[in-house]
Amino acid sequence: MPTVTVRTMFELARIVGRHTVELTVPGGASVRTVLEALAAAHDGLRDRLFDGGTGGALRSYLFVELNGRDIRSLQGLETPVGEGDALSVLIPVAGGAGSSPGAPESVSRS
Amino acid sequence: MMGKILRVNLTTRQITEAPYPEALARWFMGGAAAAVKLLYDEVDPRVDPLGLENKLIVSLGFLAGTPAPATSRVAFVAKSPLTGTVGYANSGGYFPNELRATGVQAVIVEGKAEAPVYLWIGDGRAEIRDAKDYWGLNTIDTQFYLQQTLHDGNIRVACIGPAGERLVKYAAIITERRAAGRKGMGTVMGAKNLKAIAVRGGQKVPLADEAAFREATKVLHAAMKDSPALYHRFRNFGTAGNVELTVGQGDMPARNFQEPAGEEYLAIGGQAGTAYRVRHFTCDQCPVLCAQVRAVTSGPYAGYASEGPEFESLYSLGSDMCIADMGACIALDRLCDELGLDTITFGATVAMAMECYERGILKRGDVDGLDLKFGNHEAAVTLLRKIAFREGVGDLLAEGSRASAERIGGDAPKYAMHVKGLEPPAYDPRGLKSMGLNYMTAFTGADHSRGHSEQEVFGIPVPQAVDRLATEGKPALTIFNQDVGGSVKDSSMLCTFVARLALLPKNLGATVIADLWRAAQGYEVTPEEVVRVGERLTNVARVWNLRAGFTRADDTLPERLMTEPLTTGASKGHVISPADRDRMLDEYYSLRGWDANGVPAAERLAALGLDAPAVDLPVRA
Repeated sequence: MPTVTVRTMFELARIVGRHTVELTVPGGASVRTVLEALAAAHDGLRDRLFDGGTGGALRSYLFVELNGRDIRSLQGLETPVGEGDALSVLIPVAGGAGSSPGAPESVSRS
Repeated sequence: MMGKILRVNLTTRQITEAPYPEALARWFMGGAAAAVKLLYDEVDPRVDPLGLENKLIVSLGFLAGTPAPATSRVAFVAKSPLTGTVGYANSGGYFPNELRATGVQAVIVEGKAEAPVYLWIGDGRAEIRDAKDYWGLNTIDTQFYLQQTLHDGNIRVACIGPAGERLVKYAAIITERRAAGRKGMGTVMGAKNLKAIAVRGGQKVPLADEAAFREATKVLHAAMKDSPALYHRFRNFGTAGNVELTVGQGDMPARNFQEPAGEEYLAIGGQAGTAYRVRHFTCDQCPVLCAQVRAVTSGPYAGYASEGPEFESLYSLGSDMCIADMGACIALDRLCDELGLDTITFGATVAMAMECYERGILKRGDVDGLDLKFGNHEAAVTLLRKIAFREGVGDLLAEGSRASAERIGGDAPKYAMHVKGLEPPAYDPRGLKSMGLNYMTAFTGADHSRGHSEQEVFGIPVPQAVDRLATEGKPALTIFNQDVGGSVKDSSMLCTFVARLALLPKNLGATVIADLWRAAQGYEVTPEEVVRVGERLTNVARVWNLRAGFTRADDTLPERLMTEPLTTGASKGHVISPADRDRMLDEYYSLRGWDANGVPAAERLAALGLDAPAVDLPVRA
């Protein structure tokens, strides 16, 4: 039963309630397992993480690093996780690609 | 069509103008790229950067003053007094488009005035005018009083503050509240007794095919609208949102690169910054509104406000000095802008001094009685003023981290974080290997304005997704970022954030620039030719630096970044070892067509259309 540290930011951290949480997941778990477990524990998080429901792709405005490595250069969401791993769900602000889930922050125009 | 080139000799007080050379336009496409070529052609690399023979080249992109968005930007190029390399800084605001409205594309400033002057450029005329009424003023007051005296609030000004007047080696040029901060371009102005350049124009920029230009601009607007972040998070947080990202990656330096910034620095991040924001602001003709005007309303810095701090300044004024206090960062940012200092070199130089103080290399008596421990923001504010006016220990630290550390002596140079004399920006290369190779090879030193590794920092999978902790494949990636990113931004002067957020994810940059060029200039260039501009620029600057005396030995990183692994965070355990450095450099040189010493082969230069200049054997001046 490995314990994984998950770091989130911006609106994801607001939903989770803090920037860093620890999750214990079953042996043989993957990045997807960890994120699904996190989403199951926090209302409104799943739509921010995945396109569609369970089994969906990661939202393309996010990128995820496992121990500092972009999971797209590993096995994507199916990358296995182990004891002590660190998972970062990152939202690029001044860079990045993909579609947005909308404009979650209100802005004031000058 | 390109505007004219104005040549201003401050020694003889002669001003001449000439049409923009066709070859310079065709091969370098204007902007910073053309300015570096002018430096290459006109300035001996071994001249004293503060002497009569150095020149300050003010250069606009070919899109300045046109309806294309996010292109009101200007390049300042000269031999850098801080590094001795090609010096280049850029800035936005309203000054660039106003200068273009006078019909001018570039200004070459030569010589030195006998007494302080400013350069006035109006519609159809330019004059060298007495600046004794402005010398000594800070940058905000200089702009205000020039506008008042000339009875025109729409005059735009690029100027220096007290730091530039006193030849602080990292003096900035300020345009409105924006800074062309790096590499001491404001110092070059000060050395020429040039306080300001004031401009006011009314001319429309001629376009070869206005209908085609409108169509090409629509493509750019559409790409901007399609960006998931540009009008949403980027507008809301500005570049400060990078704090959250790089803290998450373990790549935001703290304590003079002794550790990565932890969660306590979210107090100076994008989210925290929204509580200080009083309004958004923007450069001319940019719909993004990314600038955050932040004000401090309580605590010791109540009353300070700044247009920023931007991300790089939040590292240099914040985490690098262990200051996790947004109010202090805003105050320091404001004071740097007012007095005309580069925020990055200022913060990095003080962080070096703080480490020397904590290690006992500098004693309290050496630093004018200040308790210069990390985190002491009051001491940082005091030092800022001392540096700008070269008072006490400020005179020592006014030289930048490399030269100051050499003067301090002992082990101090080990704690000066720089490449070729330029202090790194806010990305620790131990966790970003292409960024590290870019710091080593960028022609200006450890620079973030060219060759930024968007793939490693932002996860942009173009040309492909990468493992930021691996060194494999990074030479080719670095060349892609230097040449493609550089050509797109350094010719047109298109804002880096629009290029990064809107164009790079679709790999559209060179295509959009080629289309805009054809419509503006009336003849075709291919996207491949646009990218060649970036390669041409890199090679021209490399040859110039070699002639200035730089060698392969200068293409390196600070010892700490090669020998001390990061201790915490997501990049824990990583360094760029000397073996990593050598392997990446060998491959980088080979891919560039340079020999093992990093000297471009004559055939490669000829293939780029350059005159295959003989490269002198590198000799230290």
